[in-house]
Amino acid sequence: MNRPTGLPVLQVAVVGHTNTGKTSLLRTLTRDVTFGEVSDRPGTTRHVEETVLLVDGRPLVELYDTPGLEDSIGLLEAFEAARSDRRTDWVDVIRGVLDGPDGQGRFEQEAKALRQVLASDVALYVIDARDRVLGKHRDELEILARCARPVVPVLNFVASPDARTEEWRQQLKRLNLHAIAEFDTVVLDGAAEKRLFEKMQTLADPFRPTLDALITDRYRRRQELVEGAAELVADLLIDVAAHVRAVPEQDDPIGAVGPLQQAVRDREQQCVSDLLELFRFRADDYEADALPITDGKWGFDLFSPAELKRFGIRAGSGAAAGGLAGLAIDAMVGGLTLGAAAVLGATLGAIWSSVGMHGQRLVDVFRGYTELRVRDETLRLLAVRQMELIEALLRRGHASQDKLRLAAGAGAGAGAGAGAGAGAGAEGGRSRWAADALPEELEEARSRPQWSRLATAADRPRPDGDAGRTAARDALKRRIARDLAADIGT
Amino acid sequence: MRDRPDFRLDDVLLAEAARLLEEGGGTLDQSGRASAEASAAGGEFEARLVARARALPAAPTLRAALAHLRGATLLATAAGCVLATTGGAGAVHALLTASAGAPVNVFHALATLLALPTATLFGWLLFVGLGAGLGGGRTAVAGVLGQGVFALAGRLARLLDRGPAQLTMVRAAAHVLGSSGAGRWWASAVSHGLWLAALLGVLAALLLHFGTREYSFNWETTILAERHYLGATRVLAALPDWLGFPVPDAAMVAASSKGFDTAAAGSRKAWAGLLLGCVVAYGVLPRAAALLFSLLAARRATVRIRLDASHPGYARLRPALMPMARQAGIVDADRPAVVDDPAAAAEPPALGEDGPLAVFGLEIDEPAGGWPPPVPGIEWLDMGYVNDRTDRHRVLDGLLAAAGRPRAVLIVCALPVTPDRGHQGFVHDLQRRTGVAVLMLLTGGQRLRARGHPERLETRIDDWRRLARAANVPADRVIEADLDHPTDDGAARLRRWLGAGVGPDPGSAGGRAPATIGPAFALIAEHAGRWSTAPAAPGERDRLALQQAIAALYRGTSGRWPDLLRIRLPDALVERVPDGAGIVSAAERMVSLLPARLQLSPRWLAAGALAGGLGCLAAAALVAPVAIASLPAWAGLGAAVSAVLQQRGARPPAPPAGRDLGEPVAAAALFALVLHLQGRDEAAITRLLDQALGDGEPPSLPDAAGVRAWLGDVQARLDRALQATEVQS
Repeated sequence: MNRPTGLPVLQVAVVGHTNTGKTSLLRTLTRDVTFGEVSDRPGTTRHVEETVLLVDGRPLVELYDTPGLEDSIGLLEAFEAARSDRRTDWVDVIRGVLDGPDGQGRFEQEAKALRQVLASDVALYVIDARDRVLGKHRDELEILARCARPVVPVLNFVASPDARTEEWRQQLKRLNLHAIAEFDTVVLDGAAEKRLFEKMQTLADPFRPTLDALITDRYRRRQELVEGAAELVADLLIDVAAHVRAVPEQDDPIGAVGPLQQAVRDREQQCVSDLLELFRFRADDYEADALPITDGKWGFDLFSPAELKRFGIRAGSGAAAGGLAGLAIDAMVGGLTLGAAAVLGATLGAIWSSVGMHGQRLVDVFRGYTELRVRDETLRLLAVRQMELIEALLRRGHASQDKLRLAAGAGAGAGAGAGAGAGAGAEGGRSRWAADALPEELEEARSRPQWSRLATAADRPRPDGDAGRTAARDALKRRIARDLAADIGT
Repeated sequence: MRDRPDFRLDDVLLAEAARLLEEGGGTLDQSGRASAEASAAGGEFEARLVARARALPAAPTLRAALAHLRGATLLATAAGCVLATTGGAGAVHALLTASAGAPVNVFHALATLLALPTATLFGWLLFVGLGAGLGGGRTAVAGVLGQGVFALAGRLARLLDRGPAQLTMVRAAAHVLGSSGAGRWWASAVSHGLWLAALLGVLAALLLHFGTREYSFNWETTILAERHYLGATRVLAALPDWLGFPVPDAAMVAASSKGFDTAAAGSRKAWAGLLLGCVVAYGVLPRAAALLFSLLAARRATVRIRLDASHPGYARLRPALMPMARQAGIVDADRPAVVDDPAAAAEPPALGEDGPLAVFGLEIDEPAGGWPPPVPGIEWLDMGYVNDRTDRHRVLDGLLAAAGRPRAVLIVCALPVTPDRGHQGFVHDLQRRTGVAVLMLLTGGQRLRARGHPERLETRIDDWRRLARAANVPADRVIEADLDHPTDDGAARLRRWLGAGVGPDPGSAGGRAPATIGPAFALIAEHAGRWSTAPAAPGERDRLALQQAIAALYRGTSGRWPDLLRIRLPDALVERVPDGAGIVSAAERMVSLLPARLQLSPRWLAAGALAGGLGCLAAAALVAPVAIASLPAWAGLGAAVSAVLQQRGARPPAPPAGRDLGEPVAAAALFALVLHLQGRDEAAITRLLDQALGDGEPPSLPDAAGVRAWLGDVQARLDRALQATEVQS
């Protein structure tokens, strides 16, 4: 692993007209929702606040949030008035005005911003792309140009329908600003972030290795996040796939359906909580519709046929209607069915381990127990739902309702919006799960009931927790997680 | 890899055990304190993982488990040693007392005592050599005895303490030691130790026996010759001799062959010496050397043990422990400004009596309704748009130089634009320097609302009003009107405001919108009552009358709900009759606001389409009541409904049997609900409709009482849903 030692620290001032999303941009870049204060009112940020981007614990980039520029027209007029002698350097003129009475009074906020620009290596000029290009913006850019610092215009809100991106690009070109970055703090795009850093590289060459280290680190962390999330989901799938619940023959199996469904729901809920914790999600930072869950819970029941339909998962033929959706009943009484054969195979193959568990199952066979397991469709639904959540969490930012609602597949109702953010790879991955057959790893998990950590029937205590954790299970979990990570997409 | 002296095996085991526990049962750090402490501690990722494990609330339990495991290991090793020693001594005892009185067969005894230890030692050497030769691969076979001891130790520990912490600690130890090679060496060391103990037991027993009893020795053979044994003795005796043990010479060997006199003096001692010496030289010493070697290797391997930070269980902690950013605080703090408010001092100029009304747009887009604002009967002095510094100066100069002095200047501002000090300064300056009263019109509200977050509209209006106040423009000189969606109503309102002196915003004729949906539903119930007693089913005109009445209730919010329903009325002032396409699009729009669940029902689709189409007509009727009388548009309604149904692939529903007011009431209720909920964004409207309208098909309501009951249900559900959204926001 390369230690980024000795890399120069880049200092970046983030400036722009008021209420263009500077603080939001910094929150997105730092993945820290506690930074600064965000509101829709003008003049929210009234001080210069510093935050530092770290790689392996070492600071690489210092970012400075500044108060918004509000009266740049007046400010430029003040500069021009102060520049009585044509030959005076602009930077000196600017410093003169900033240090003067106006700089403490009327232009106090602007002065703070400009002082920070003069003390930094690069300035990011944030633009709300929905605004028209007006004189005040041109004046701001002129002032920044006079500060003699490289300026990267950052177009914000480009994902909004009334964004005037092309108009801005034309106008910025006329002002000789060609390295323009597009960003949208509403829909976070890892590629856009990378391009922003690259644009900064082109304008601040001595800091090229610094930004390279940053880009590499971001990519690596994202991969780790995806892999970690995939592991959690793989664990969930194995637990649910392997789970078997024995019901005495004389009892009505319907009675055991409820508890089994609840156990599966609880397990899914635990996975959701783990995912939210992994992504350091805080409930009060997100709009209600940003994620497909509300209050940290899935709104639609896992076992409702409508939910299957919403995700375009076709139920197998003979799907039970009503409350039995999601369960299949393997009758083990009176002969070998597929269920019993799986038991025997597992028993023979694993005769040395967990004899207690299998022994009990064999006894169950002879005593006439029915086995309840979870259906394939539910497993597929679990996988697809969690992948949707992960993708939404990867794109975290302040919400844009349309963009984060993902396409629900071919069979879904007409109400689902189009997921513009979902790449083709992700679509393909999820449709792989939505299609008919389960991946073979899960089929294997189905034959190992001891791998499930869900509690079995209430009257039988859980087997020794250690019995479930074997190297084989971990290896299988890794395989499933790798497949899931590949499906989750960019 | 550099050696990092601060890492201890204990720390690594603690971290591993914590990881395993977290993988199995969720996070151990519920409060986040341990992670916070660890990331504050700084250092490399591995160091932070260790720090976190140490700071976990479960750490003492894990440490206790580790202590148990240690104790159990020592116990198991000690027990093993005792067993081994006893075993060795027992072997000697059995050997020497088996043949009571008969001479001891020296070479046979040697073979019995030393064959197994030596063979296993060679085996160990072989596997270790192989392992090293194969590049340090993990040969699990080395140190089998030792592994057995460790397994026993694990069982013992779990026996003592059945908790999950102990279980996990055993697994963690197995994983860490097993995967690092240190486990192999420790197991080997224990193996050697056990064998050493056994051999020492053998030695001790031999000494005991030879010291206390008199034995005679001989050697026998079936297939070998004496000289073989001579040679063998010489070879074997070399090392013991060097160590100082008495050994037999050639004569004694010859004399000790079976059958000869074995009681030769000194030969007994020599043979005993040989036995003892061989045990020491070929048993104890090699094993001791191997033990030492293993211990050293184990030591070295243990020091090298590291956490595998790339393991997903650890990588998952990276975002928390190695944050991507760190806040560094405020650099240039905000001083609470001394607000000197020069604007407060002066009186705003009074409105003039006559003269044109100057108007300009401040950073606005060209309004869809046309420029200057389409308000009838106003004499405008159009000063264009102000977009930059030059324009500002131009307007200022223009106002100062205007021939006919304007009685006021109307500044049209855009709500999507954030009001800033530049605007404030400009407005203030303008009013002060020209002495002309400033009026402000805030347009573009719909566009702002369409961006999402409708509550922001209120905030934005408030911000602009504040700006006006700070610029010395009184509150009653600021009005909000959307020039992109002009309506006659709105125009009249503006005219009143601009013309007849400027008093408070007169609002609209109907007053404010009703606070609950009760009045609208009461209207529906009243009409339904009339319909149920009428001879025929309610026709389109009756339904239109009801919708017009509902729309009239919500007149105060004019301009908004037609936009919500995307009703486009034709431009020509004379003919306000909407065409077929307009009705279809309004019908579509209403249907699209329905929740997905209801869209699956053809009857709801039909009700929705009808509500939309009638709504379109009602909107037209609001502005030009005359036109409705001459409507040939009834056919258009039916066609619109069929078009919508066809597009959704639904078949037209069968007409209800008997007198069923369900559908018309449902359509009217839908319309009322949408009007009541206007101003929210579409997703919220759909959600609230979902919660208010309940399940299944539109109800079959044969009479007025049923209608009232159903409406009461819907109202109750709506109130609950609205309360819930109130609480959330």
